[in-house]
Amino acid sequence: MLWILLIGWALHGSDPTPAWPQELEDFQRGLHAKALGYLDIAQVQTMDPNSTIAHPTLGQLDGFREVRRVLGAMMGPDSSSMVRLGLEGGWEGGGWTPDLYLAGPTKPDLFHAAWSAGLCGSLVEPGLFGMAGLHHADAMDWSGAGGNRVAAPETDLWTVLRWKRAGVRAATDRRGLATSRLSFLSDPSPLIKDGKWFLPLAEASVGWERADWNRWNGNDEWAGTVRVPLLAQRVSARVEAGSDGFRLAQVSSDIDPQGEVGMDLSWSVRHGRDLAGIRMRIPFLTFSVNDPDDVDEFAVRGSLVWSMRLRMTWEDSQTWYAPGRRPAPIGGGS
Amino acid sequence: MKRSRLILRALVTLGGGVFLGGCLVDLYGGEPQIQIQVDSHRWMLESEGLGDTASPVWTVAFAPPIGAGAVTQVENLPVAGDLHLFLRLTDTLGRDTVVRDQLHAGVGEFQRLVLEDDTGGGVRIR
Repeated sequence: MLWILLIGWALHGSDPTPAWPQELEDFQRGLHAKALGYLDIAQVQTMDPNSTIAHPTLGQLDGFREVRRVLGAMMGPDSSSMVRLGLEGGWEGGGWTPDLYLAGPTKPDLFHAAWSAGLCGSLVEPGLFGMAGLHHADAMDWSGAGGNRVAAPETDLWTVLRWKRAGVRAATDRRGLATSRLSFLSDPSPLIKDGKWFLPLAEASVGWERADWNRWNGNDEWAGTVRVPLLAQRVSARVEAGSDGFRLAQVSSDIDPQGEVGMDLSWSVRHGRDLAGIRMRIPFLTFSVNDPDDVDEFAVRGSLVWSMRLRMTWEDSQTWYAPGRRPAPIGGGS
Repeated sequence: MKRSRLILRALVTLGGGVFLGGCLVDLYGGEPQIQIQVDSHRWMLESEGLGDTASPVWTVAFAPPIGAGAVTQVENLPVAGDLHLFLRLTDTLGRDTVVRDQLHAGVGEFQRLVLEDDTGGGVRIR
């Protein structure tokens, strides 16, 4: 009872950081019952200045946007155990900055920070995996003498569950359920069929998003996503639509057999604007313009964005994969 | 050489080029700079600032005030964009006034502003 009261006291109802719903989706995609851990380290920045940010007293600023993130989940050391427990923790910061490339925002800046902490558990035998925790985004202020607040703090309680290829994720705050989604997921680990390795690309999900968690049009909305393979395991198509209309169509291609190098082309409609998107992926680096996943993940759109991102899941001491990557067909390992 | 390997090399080269290009953007970017020349014979420049005059985000004070025919040092602005600039002025009788202007300062740009008397007895920024 006390725990419930404390959680209730801690939760706030406000706009979440834009990245968090997408980060929950990444958790759900990447982690399954046998996973030993998950790591996401990212530095993301626009490459050209844009003047879309209005300062409360200075005027309309030219500048860049950047996001930095460190997020991880680590399961207990006994990898042979059938019941496993672990911890999750993460930090993310970023905002407007007048400079480019790894330069910390100088004053006056618009900086936001958010953190998450949670517990993980899995039952390996039935293939059940779950995570739950708190996520908190600090208030966002323009620093300096003005000190104007532009966003209130926000805290929510989140959970991710996965049973084999079925999953559910949800978040709630003081105003009730913020988002919930049921999904059928491709297994991130490789499969062998008729002596050949392949990575299933099929995914489907359906769920509901409250207006302040809806990154597409700001309305309460039901939404669904389907991803299907088009050309063996190299090319896939993905379509997402909500009860208020079309959201995105994307074609993803993996050029290398391990899925680390590829190009994604997309068309999306966000807040009534049509956006053509492209993303190029090479190991650790991506370059994109209006890519729907990058916009969701880092809230940066309309300009060329580069990200230096290390995102991987460990399955055992010899096998790790980034999303889309699987072990080499011969010899296993990385 | 396999076609996929060629494509991979081309993409890596392209990625490297974009990355290097982004770095070069920063080399010729940087903080905008401002310098003010005082041509007014009635008013002297006490300080310059950005933002709200009651609580400016950035300000530089001049002591003694800058008089007619003199110029300020080149100052680095903390931000770029369409900025709210203000100048605090004083005259020989000790009266003070504030002049505001919308300043466009692009990344890495230099702006030289001239403070001069206008025909109506006031002062303006050119």
